[in-house]
Amino acid sequence: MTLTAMTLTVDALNQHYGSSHILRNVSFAMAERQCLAVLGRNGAGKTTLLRCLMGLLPASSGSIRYGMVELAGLPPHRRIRTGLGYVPQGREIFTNLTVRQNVEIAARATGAARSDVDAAFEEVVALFPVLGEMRNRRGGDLSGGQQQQLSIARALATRPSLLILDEPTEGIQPSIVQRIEEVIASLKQRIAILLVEQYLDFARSISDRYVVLSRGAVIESGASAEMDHDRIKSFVSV
Amino acid sequence: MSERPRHRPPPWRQLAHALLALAALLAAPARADESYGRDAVVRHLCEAKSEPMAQAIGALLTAVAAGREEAAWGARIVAALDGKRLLCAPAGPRLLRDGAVLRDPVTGREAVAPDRLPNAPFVNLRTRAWVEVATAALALFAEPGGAAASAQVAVLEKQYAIVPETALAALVERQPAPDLRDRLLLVRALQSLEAPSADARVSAIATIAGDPTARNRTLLAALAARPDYAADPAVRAALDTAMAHIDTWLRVGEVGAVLFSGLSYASILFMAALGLAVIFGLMGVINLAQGELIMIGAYATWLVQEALRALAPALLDWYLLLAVPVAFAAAAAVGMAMEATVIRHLYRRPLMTLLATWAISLFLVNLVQVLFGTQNLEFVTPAFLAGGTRVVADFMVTWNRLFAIAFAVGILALALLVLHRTPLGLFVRAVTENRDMAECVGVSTRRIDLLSFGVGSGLAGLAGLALTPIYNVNPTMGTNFIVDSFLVVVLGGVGNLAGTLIAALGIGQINIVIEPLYGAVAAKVIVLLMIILFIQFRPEGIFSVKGRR
Ligand SMILES: Nc1ncnc2c1ncn2[C@@H]1O[C@H](COP(=O)(O)OP(=O)(O)OP(=O)(O)O)[C@@H](O)[C@H]1O
Ligand SMILES: [Mg+2]
Repeated sequence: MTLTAMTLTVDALNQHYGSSHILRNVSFAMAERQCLAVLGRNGAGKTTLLRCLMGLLPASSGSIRYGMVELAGLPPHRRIRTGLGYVPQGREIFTNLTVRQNVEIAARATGAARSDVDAAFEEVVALFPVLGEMRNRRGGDLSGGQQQQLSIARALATRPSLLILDEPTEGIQPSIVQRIEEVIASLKQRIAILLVEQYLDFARSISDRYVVLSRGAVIESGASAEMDHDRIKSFVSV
Repeated sequence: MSERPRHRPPPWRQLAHALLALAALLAAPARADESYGRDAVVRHLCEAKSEPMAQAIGALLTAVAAGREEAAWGARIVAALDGKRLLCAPAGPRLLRDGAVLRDPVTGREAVAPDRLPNAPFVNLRTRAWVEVATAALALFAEPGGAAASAQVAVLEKQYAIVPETALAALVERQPAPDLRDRLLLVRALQSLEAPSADARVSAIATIAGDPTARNRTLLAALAARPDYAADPAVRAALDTAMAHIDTWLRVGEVGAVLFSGLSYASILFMAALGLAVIFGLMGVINLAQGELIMIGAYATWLVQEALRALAPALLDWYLLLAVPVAFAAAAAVGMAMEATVIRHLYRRPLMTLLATWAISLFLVNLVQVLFGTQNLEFVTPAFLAGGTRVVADFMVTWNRLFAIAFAVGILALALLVLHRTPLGLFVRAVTENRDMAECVGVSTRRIDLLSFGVGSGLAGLAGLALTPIYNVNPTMGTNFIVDSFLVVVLGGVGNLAGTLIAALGIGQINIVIEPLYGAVAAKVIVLLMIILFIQFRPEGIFSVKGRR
């Protein structure tokens, strides 16, 4: 794989929480507009990896390059400006802001003019119609599923070229899961997606490549089409 | 009289007006003085003794009131007497010195100087009262709605006992301003207190009760102690009702005054606490130097005043308004410097920040002491903030306190606008709630921190500006406010405008109410205890944010 404009390259990433070594020499790469699934058991270090990518946690060593930019050491908002978008585990929308403001702040912070905010909001409403109906509700008053949709919408409003999602379907009813999966599928080919996902079937169907994390180390990776379902399942489930 | 729209006076006043108008109607013809002449007036004035003076001025004012004499001539003579320019020989010509020439006081024609100039009569303390009354009354006759009319009426109020009755009736008649008219009527009522008839006394007492001031209360109490007053049961009863009435209104006035000064204190607290609450909500930093930022705002205001005094004295009266951007900018600059050099490096170490901001506050106090000295600063009270208006009884709404209140209301509106209508406000609210995620949607939280610290500090500076017309300004003034400001933040809940407002109102009022009862220190202790109790029951402050997190 060549280092073209928008490729993510993670090289020998290590992370410690105090004395416990969480990420061990994690290396992988993903090409432009590719979809990468990160699989692993609870506690394998998936969220930690994503937080390191976003700059929310400092890595102990290793490098994270996005395109030509070395991300290590940059604060999260600078990484957002290079094209990363982040949907955290547990949604973490701004509960005190309205639905619209949750989207607006993302658009505004990444340089959208006042006049572009409406367009940005209508764009995410087209993906998640429920957000249009709820536009003036406090984020905190939304249901879990609605919050998850808002969280994805908010990340999209930063206009990412690489969307990072941490278990977007966790704890959500099937009909909304389906909507979220459709949206993610529709984003594929347009932007790169790094997806942490417990539903193995969905992960396999949507991703181009996968990596499996276990105890903070990459133990398996490959093209999703060639994934050995049972073998991977034994790595992922308890 | 012209039909200008006027406020409707309370019923007791209307009744009093009617009675007095009737009395004036009955009294007027009887007092017509046929034997008036300028010559007699000048002769009596020359004697400069109480009795003839009273007669002369009484006659003069009556003549002016009846249109038989010009107010201007009277004013000229009285002014000459006051200025020792009326020269009186015991016998022979009386002269009026007009600059270099001498004139006949009666005709105003130029007169030849005699060999020896006669002396000017000496106006003593008792006769001076007559001169004052005459000057004021003549000026009011000449120009009832003049610029100094209120001050002239005040002279009559002070000397009510010697104002000639007919003149007073005419002055009431001709006064266009309702408030001045009411005051003149009151002067009449004060006179009628000595009227021989019980009815006149009773109605005068009722009129006086219509103006419930401490001064009138003392006056009525003095009357009640007099045997001739106590004798007549009707008058006695009227006095008792009147005093009870005045007492009630005096109490209302006192309560109003306490609430008002509490409100103005609350306004200052609110401005100081708003900055604190924003900073604490956003960064979890307790800025112990907030009080000193108030002080810096006050000193910046003083510097603007001094600069104007030196460079543009014509604008001196407007220094408070011109200082608004300066006080804000000065405090904001100091705050931002604090954030960038010290506080930024101590995030997530609350104790260290606390100590660091405390150190900064000590440093600022000492710096200002070295630069400006420890004494209180002198502030000019701008003309538009001097005085106030009487609302009820002795309760004055003073413009300087009203200014602080209006200023705080303006700040509140502005804060609401910024917080809810601008991108900065949106960012601040988001960072306050979830710093990490704000970063992850692209908000530079460092920039927001710096800006908010600047704005929060600037608000403290504005509080400093608003308090200069009310409180003392010196290097250690900040400590007086910091504790209460903190209590406001704790009580109001973090990063909560409505809570901050309510808490400021509450703490401001409680302080002002308790202080006169138990002293300033006890007031602080009591407020503190109340808050500790309150926090036991509602640790999240007055308003908690409802809904899911
Ligand atoms: N703040 C922290 N301090 C110390 N250890 C932590 C912290 N956060 C996570 N860990 C540890 O790091 C390891 C990896 O956690 P992480 O949240 O990355 O797992 P995960 O793969 O995302 O799991 P899940 O599927 O449950 O979300 C776990 O063992 C966890 O206990
Ligand atoms: Mg996780």
